[in-house]
Amino acid sequence: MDLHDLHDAFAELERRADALPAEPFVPPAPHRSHTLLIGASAATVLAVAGGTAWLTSSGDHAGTQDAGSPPSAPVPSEKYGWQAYSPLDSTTPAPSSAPAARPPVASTEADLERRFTAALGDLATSFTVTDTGHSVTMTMPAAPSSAPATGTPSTPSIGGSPSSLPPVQSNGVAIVGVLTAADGRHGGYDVQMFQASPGEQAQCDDPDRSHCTLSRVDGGTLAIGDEPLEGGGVTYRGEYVRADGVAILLHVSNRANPKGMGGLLASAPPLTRAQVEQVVTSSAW
Amino acid sequence: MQVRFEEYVAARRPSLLRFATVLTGQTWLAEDLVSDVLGRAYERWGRIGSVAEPHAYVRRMIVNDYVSWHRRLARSRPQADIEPPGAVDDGTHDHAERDAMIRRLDQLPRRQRAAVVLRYYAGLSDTEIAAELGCREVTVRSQISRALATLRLDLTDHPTPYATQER
Repeated sequence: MDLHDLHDAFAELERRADALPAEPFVPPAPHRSHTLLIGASAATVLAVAGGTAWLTSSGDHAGTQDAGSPPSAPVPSEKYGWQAYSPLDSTTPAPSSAPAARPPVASTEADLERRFTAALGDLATSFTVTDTGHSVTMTMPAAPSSAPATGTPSTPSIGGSPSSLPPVQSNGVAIVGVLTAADGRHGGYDVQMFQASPGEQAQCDDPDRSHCTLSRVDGGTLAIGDEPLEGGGVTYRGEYVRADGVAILLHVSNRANPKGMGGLLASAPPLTRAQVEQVVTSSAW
Repeated sequence: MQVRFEEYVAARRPSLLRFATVLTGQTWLAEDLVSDVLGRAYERWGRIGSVAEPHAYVRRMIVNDYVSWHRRLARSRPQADIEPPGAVDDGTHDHAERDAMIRRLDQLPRRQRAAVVLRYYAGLSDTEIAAELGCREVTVRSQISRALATLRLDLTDHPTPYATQER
């Protein structure tokens, strides 16, 4: 085969794209970024992503606030839904002595944030959440689905009704932002928790790389590796697939975005490879 | 002068869908990627619309999403995605070679496939590809070299990009 065959393949894929029904695009409702604080032994001021996060010495999960809020005491923000974390909020219900059983996989971004906070423990003092996502399993029909979407878009559409996609089942969530380590270093992170497919094991992103190790931990599989980035950046990656099929995938980088974009925030990622392993294999998930 | 988001979508969405389909090999994934990226671009259009090349910026968002680890998809893929119903005979008799190439593209790891598409479809230089994928140029050349071996491509002639401009 030669380049002509590659070009033919590209042309065929373009033709399939052009054969798609002309569905207009509907912008989604915007979301807001926020900051979560983790209990610390000393008070620190951190300015992140347009907001100011205050840490307290309460030793418990503290509150957060948007930019411009009075710094005298952290106040939980209702719109972000983490009121239960503020020790200063008298309206917060006391936790029950027998916590209700929680699902094995976080089903919401807020739930993932709580579990990530617990897994980090003393390794970090705060992290921002600037983006979220869902892991999905798409079940493909035999023929393209043409069923129209139901409901009314909350934002004005550009030309009409939303496009329809094959039915999906959410099997996990992801959050992205900047992490601040206990020593004050900042770096981009990306953490995902999802239900792995049957038989799926942790794997290295690129098996040809020489900085990725695979091992077995407590009946599950663990992959720890690093990826050099342009201009002195590096991203550490940890993936742990437990014996029950729950997977935790964590990337931390000394760049603002662990995908390799954004400014260089530190000489090294906010967590070491050993700490990445500690976090993903934590029983706190 | 900033391009209005509605104007950008009307003018460039077909091109983004083509690029995303070539990148992913799957029309439904391409639709999902483009929709998701345009949604995020919409929130940041005040900044994106003012850059010198907003289309290149949005395309880069698509590439980053494709190679990212956010998407965990079912392993099985329907045969209908390889031969979509109602396919039109384009007059090319050598469908077997073309479809074999498409299957080999599907076998590539995502970063290798992205590197091949960025070089041979989008016409980017190795320097530009390295910037898009967040890696060194030597890594780009290594990725493409491995990909070409998987694709069993004979490039004894000087390889020329498929398109210097997206259509």
